[in-house]
Amino acid sequence: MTSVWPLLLYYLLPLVGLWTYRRGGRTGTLAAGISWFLAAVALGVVIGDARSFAVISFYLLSLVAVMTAFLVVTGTNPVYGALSLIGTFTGIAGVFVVLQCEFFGIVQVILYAGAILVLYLFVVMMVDLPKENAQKRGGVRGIAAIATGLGLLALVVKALAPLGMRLQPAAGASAEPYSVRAVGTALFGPYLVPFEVASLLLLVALVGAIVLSGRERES
Amino acid sequence: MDLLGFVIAIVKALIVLVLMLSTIPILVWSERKLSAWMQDRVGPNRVGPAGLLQPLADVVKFLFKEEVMPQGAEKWLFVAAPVLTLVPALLAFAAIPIGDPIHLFGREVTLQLANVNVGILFVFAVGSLGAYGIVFGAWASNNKFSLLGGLRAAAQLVSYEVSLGLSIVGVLMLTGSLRLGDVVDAQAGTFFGFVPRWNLFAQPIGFLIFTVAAFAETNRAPFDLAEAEQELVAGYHTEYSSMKFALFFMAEYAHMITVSALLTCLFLGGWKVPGLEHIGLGPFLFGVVQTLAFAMKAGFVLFFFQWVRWTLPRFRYDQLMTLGWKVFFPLGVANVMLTGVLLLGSR
Amino acid sequence: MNEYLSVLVFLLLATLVGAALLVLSHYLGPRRRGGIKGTPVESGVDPIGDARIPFNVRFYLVGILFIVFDVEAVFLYVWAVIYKQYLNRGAFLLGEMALFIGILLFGYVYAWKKGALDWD
Repeated sequence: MTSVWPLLLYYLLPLVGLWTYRRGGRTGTLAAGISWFLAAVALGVVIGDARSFAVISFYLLSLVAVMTAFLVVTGTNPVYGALSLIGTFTGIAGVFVVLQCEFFGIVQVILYAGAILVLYLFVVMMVDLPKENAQKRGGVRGIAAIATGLGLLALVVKALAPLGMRLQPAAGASAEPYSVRAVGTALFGPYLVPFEVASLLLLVALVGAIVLSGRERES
Repeated sequence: MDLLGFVIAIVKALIVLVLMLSTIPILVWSERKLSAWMQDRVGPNRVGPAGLLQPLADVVKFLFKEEVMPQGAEKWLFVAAPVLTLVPALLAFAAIPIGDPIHLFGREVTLQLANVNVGILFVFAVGSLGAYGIVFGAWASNNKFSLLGGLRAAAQLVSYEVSLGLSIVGVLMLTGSLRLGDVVDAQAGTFFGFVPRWNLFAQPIGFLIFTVAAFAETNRAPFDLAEAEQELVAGYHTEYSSMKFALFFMAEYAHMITVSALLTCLFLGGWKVPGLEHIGLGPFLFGVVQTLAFAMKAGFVLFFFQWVRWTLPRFRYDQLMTLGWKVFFPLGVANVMLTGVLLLGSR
Repeated sequence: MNEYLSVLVFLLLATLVGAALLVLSHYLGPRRRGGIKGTPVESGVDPIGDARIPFNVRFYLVGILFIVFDVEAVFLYVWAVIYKQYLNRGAFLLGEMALFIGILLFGYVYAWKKGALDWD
């Protein structure tokens, strides 16, 4: 088990590096270089501690997801943000694969990277006129956003802490607990009602979008 | 993970990459020759025998051409977009098998780069990412024609992706697996003793939808609305020159190769040849014949792609969208339900 | 897992090839800047206005339609894979899916009636 501090540094230092690099100037670049160097050291510690190939892949892929997500929320150009978001989704898909949930990984790519992001792009390109580019950051909204994010993080940590950190399915689980077959057997058996309700949700989304776009036939 | 497994992974990756990159020039050549014959011309005939080396000469030419960076372009994205288009197009092939597993160095080696459990979805998922390269490139070009072409491409790709997805559900119901090797294995043998047990015959509606959607997904005529030259100059790659343009071009052909191979696996029985096991070939020759059969089937599909391109005129954009959403989508849903009922009846 | 390692190797190789070709042509090709070469192509006419024009809301609608029916397709994949295995309860399975698709078809018909599928 890796202790918490190198892990925390491992995830945070690259972000600090990205942020200072963004700031520009010589001090910014220097600070970025230093934090990336320290991040590399933390990476060494984390990987040196890892026992298996799967654990190493998990750390690398999750770092990709975290860094690209950081770029999404800090960037000023929404189109580049969408590009970074592809990285986030594929990173998460990779984490799913490492956790032996191949199917969820692929669905993550198909639905998030393949479908939802297309919609984002359409919207972003539709409103991406120069005046919207320079939106003000920081201030009360920035603080509120950071506070909300930290609060969410605390909730997730609190919820997951009792489970501990492990990358293998719990003992006693079947050989392929997350295969398509297993998912299907569960979905169309015990979870039938949520499945049918999902179709209602989709229906609402569809009708809502049509109503909001206000496109009526002109006859 | 042992060392030999690692070495095999790298060697396989190299083989597939070389295979893809060497098939693309042949396709370019055959496309030009075929179109020439269909239009009563000669086609390329200067470089090498029958102009066979023309594509290589083209590559050299592309390398020595000037790159133009349009004013107001997003430089970084403009350069990255062709690579973002090419890489998914090549990568999608990774999950496609081209023959039965063989035995090598005392272990079973599959004739595919990655034998993933969700093979079909992998091809779809990765293939659909290629759309982003097109959209980003179009947006980065700072050109109205490019932007319109890119948007058209994206809307067309997503519209037909739904039909494409629905068309394979019937095949999945017959097979009960997402692994492409299993899909092919399920097509061994014959119906009634003489019709090959291919999904082409078991799923004719699915086959029709898949084939048409495949044209749309690869941006090929009659669905090449994204680069309709009479309306949009060259569509999303209007501003692209030199090797950056060539990468878009290669991506289109790589998509074609992947789609043809996928079509062969899903509907044309893959590498299965009915009755081949009765001839009594040795295991090695048996495997060679099977892989050759696969190559021939996929080759025919590729020829069909080109044949259609030089025969049919282009759709109008509204016709294209209407066809996708009002014809193929309901047809796909009906096919799923029909297959369900028929399977239930055959129990 | 091991299978995805080959995917990763292939991904790196393919990116390398693409990038290498771009770098090669960058250094091999000539560079003669200047003039009107860099202006956007508008068929010989001087470009008017911004190239990143706002476009029709229909694209957005197609995006939404796509998401909804893509989710449906993913559910269908899962359903199709187990259908044959549980064929003895096939009628029940088919009914479940028919209900799911039926509810969504309401949305489809609504979209059709409202002209969201038209591209005039």
